[in-house]
Amino acid sequence: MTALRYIFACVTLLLAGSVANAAWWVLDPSHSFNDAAGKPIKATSLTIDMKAANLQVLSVPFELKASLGSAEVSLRSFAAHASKQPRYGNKEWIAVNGGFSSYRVDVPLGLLVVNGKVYSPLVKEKTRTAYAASDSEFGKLRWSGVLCQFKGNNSWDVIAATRYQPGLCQQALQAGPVPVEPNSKVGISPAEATREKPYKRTIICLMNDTRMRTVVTQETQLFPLAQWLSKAESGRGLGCRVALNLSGDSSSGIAIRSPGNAPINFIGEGSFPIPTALLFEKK
Amino acid sequence: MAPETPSAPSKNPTQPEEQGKTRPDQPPNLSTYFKPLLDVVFLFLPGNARDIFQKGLLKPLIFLVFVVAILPLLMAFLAGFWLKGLGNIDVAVIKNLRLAYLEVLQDGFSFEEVASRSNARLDYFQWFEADLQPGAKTFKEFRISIQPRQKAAITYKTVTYKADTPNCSLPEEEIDLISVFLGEQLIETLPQQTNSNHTFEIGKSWWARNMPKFDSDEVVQRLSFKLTNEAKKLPQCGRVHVEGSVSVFKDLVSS
Repeated sequence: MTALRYIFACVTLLLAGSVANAAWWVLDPSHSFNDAAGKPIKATSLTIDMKAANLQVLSVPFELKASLGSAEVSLRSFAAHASKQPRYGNKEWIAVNGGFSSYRVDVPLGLLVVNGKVYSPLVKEKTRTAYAASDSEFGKLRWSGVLCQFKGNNSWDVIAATRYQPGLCQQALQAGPVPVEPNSKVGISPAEATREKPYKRTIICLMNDTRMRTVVTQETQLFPLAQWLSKAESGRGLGCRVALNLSGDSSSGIAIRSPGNAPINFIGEGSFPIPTALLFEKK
Repeated sequence: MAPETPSAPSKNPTQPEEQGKTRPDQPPNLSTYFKPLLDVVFLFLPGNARDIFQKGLLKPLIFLVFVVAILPLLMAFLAGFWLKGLGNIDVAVIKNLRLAYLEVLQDGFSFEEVASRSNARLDYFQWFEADLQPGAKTFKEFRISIQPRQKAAITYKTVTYKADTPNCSLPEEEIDLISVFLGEQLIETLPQQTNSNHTFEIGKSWWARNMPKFDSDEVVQRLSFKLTNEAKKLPQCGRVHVEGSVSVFKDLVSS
C-alpha cells in the first residue's frame, strides 16, 4: 500500500511538472502549410507565455567571454556551453538563433541592444528587392524590423527600423524582412514566391495576447510563410499580429533545456555560427 | 540543252580561257596537265562561280579580296609592328609622335568606352581590411601602386562601429567614421555602411580635378584610413571596422 502511495505521489509530481512546463511554453511540431506550388512545408512552433517568461537578447561572443571576431559558435554549441554555466545550470531555458552576421560570423549586423547597452548601431541599408508593398514603412530598409523591448513598460514589439529612435529599447535586435506587418498584414509581395530561393527559416511572432512564438520551418519562400503566419489560428494559421524573420538556413534552430540532466532538445539544424541568440527563461 | 562548260568548243576566240591554251607546235607546259583537273572542278562549281571564270573576272575578284580582307589586316599589322619598334626608340620627337598617333587611334576607335564595358583590362585587385580604435589605433595604411592618371576604383563593403567588450555601450548618433587618403590627399570621409558596395571612382574627371595635387612622375603608393576627429572621440571600448577592395586598371586616362 505504501508503495502504491509512493508511485501515485511520483506520478502526480511528474504530471505537475508537465503542467508547470506547459504553463510557459508549448512545443508543436505538427504544423504544415503549402508553398506556392502546393507542396506542404513542415514547421515547428514554440509558444511562450510572456506573462510567465523573460526574454533576453544575447551577444553570443560576449556571453562566452570571447573577443569580437574570435568566436565561431553555433546555436548547438552555444546551448551546450550555456548548460554548463552556473548562471543557466539547472534552470529550464530555451535558446533561439538571433539575427544576421556582419563582417565576421560572430559580429552582429544591425542594431543590437543588450540590457540597455548598444553593442551595434542600427543599419540603414536600403532594400534591394521590393518584398513589401511600396507604401509600407517596412519596405524601405533591407533589415526592416527591430524586435524591441521598450524602456519603461518592458513590453515587446516588432517596429519598423525606419521608426527606431536612439534610446527607445532596453533590448533590441534588428533583422528582416518583416513577413507579417502590424495587425496581421502580409508584408511580402506575392512575386517573392517565384523570384526567390527557399530557405530554412526562423521567425519570431508576436500574438495579439501575451504569447510570443518562435517558428522553425523547412525550406520555404517568405510569401507562403507570411500568409500562413498571418492567418488566424481558427483558420489553421498561426495568428501572428506581427512577425520578424531572423537568421535562417543552417543557423536556424531552437534549443530547449529542461531542468536536471536531461539532454538538450534541438529543433532545426542550428549548426552555423551565430552572432546573437534569444534566450527565454521562466520568470 | 546541255550546260555550257569551259571545255566545250568556244565560238568566241577572245574568251580568256582560250588565251591560256597551248598551240600544237609548242611543248606542253604545266597548265596543260592541270587543265583536265580544272575542268573537273568546274563541273562541280555553282553557277555564279562558273560565270566568274567564264567572264574572266577571276583577277578582279582576287584583287577585291586582297583590298577588302587582306590589306586592312596587313596595314594594322604593319602599323603595330612599327609602333612597337618606335616605342623602343628613346628620342623625344619620335616618342611624342608615337603618343599623338596612339591617342588618335584611341579616340577614333573608342578604346576607352569599349574597355570600360568590361574588366578585361584590370591591372590588379587588392583587398583591404582594418580595425581602428579610438584612442589607440586611429590609422591604417595599405601599400598600393597607382600611376598618375591611371584608372582605379575603391569599393567599400563595410564601414561599421561595434562594441568590443560586454560593458561597452556605443553612442547612436550618425557620424563620419573614417577619412580615406590616397597618398597625402584626402579623397573622402565615410559614415557607417553595410553591404553598400559604395565605389569611389578614380577616373578621367577625378584626375582632371586632382592631378595638380600629385607629382606627375611619382607613383601613388599609399591608401590609408584614419578615424575622423569625431570618431576619435568615440568610446575606446568600440572598434571601427573598414573593409573593401581597390581595383586598378591598365588604362591611363588622357588629360
